[in-house]
Amino acid sequence: MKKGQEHNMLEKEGKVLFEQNVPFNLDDQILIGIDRGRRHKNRMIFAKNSILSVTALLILFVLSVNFFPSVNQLASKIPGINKIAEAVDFDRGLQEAISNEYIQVVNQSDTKGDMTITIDQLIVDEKRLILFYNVETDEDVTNLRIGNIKLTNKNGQVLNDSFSSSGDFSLNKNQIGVLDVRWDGNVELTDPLTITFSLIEDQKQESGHLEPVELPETFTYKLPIDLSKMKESKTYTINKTAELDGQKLHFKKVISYPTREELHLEYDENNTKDILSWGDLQIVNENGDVVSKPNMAMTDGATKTQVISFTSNYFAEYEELYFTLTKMNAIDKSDNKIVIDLEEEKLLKAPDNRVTLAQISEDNSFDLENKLAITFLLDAPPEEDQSYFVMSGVFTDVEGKEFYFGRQQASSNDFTIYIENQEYANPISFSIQNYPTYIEGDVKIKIK
Amino acid sequence: MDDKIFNRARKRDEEAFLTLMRLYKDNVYYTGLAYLKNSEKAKEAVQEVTFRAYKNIHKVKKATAVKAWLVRITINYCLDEIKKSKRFQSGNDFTLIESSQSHDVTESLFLTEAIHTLRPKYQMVVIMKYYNDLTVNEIAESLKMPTGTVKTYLSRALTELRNYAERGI
Repeated sequence: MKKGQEHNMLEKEGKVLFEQNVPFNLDDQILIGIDRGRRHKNRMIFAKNSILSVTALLILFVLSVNFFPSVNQLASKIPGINKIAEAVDFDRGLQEAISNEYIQVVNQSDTKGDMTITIDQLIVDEKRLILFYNVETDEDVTNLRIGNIKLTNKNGQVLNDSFSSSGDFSLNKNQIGVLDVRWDGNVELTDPLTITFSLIEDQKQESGHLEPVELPETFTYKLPIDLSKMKESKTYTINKTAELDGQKLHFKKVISYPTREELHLEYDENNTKDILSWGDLQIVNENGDVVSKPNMAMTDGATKTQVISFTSNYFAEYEELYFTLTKMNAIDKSDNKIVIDLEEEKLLKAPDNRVTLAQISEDNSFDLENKLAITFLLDAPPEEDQSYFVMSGVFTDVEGKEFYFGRQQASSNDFTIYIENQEYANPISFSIQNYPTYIEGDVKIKIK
Repeated sequence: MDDKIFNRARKRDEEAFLTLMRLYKDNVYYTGLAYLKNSEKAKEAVQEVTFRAYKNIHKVKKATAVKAWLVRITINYCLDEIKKSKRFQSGNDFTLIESSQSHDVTESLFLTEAIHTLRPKYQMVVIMKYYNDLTVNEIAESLKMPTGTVKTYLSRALTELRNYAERGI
């Protein structure tokens, strides 16, 4: 091929492609894409200004599911059990709970207008309630989701005060909905429990914005709880220390609940690095099979204890269980800041040169009002294919005054935070909660 | 593209956004086709790119940047898809397509294969320039790199294609 010829060939190639017939149903694909976009709640972090702060969202993972034969045997006792098992196929621990009949039939309905929402079954333990429900209505429910959930015991004490799960509560017809409520603290579980929630609708405003509006009706259910069926948690004391690149982690204990395992972990106060993620921490059984991965972590600000949740092995009869760990995200305590000058629109400090400040803009679009959107590019290792929510929800101005923000978006190579659009004493300084720097080791710690 | 439509689409006005996607759907589809070599997968790309674009359209600063931006999202999506499929099947990436059609089409298929041997960054600029008629400036802006770099990539890509052709034919 002569020089220049490939240039022409390429142009022709482009044209050949464009002359082929365009599939006429591309519009369908566009409409589906828009519909998905509309219903998608951006992966956000809602930072909470409380003693217990939620520092990470659910990690999506799927352990391969062996369908339990006993689920089929249960089918005659609990109608629709197969579908329920499918609805929790992301969590093997919950499937095992179901196949061990750790599920209660509720059958409570509430009707508002022409919409009936029925709670069919529930799974409950000391710290978590999972409801399975269905929706009957002729209306279009695609813009609706469940919100403002409140769970109280018979004495009127609120259970989900400190934390309730923030899953996707979009309403769907003809399939089982899962409402997952978690709490922390020592509020007494009673028979019955009362749950109320309302519906949130994304309503289109004149400006074209979609605005979440809470509908006035409140759905209310008195949930009968068979306390005699409740199973108590089991505690395994560990008290062992692991070390990765000189950083020490104290594994204190594991509490096993029917719906999850909780690891209580402390970082050594002499560590030179802040630990940012649990990395590849997982639980393996006596054969080395991975049986649980972490799915949530909370930090108790008072005791500095990390409480990491795993899918439950409560009903699985493993002879031995171990934690294994080889890699975690961590950062030097002295590097743990990103500092920017809002006026000059300049990045003044970052852990390394992989972060760049891409854009600062006023953002009033979609569901945002009077926010400043600050977008950074992050050159993270592409093979990780991970979104880094780099910033914690707290920042300080040059005078040390603290501010909070509740929203952050991230993709594999950028992240955006939304802060109030107001005057700040420059520069402002953000602490980092996750970053692609690591510590490594080879840890195996026995649970039982 | 009309600034008014763009501004409305940025605020996620669905009609405006639909208009915008209809305007550039061919670019998305054919970029998908060039990478994924399968019309069903290219259609899926249209859906996924629409979804990603809807979520992020507010990040685009001006109407003239939309086309390049959409093409870039499409390419990112396709690279992810290719990466995923490689996990499941290795070694089948460059299966030759037998064709009894006209010389032009065979040449075209050959060229598609050749483009697929390029390094991803070269592939990207070639597909942006020659498949989507984007200018060097538009590509540079979209990829956040200097125009000089885009020109260098294009020229190296063409050299590599020439070498491939000399080896291949």
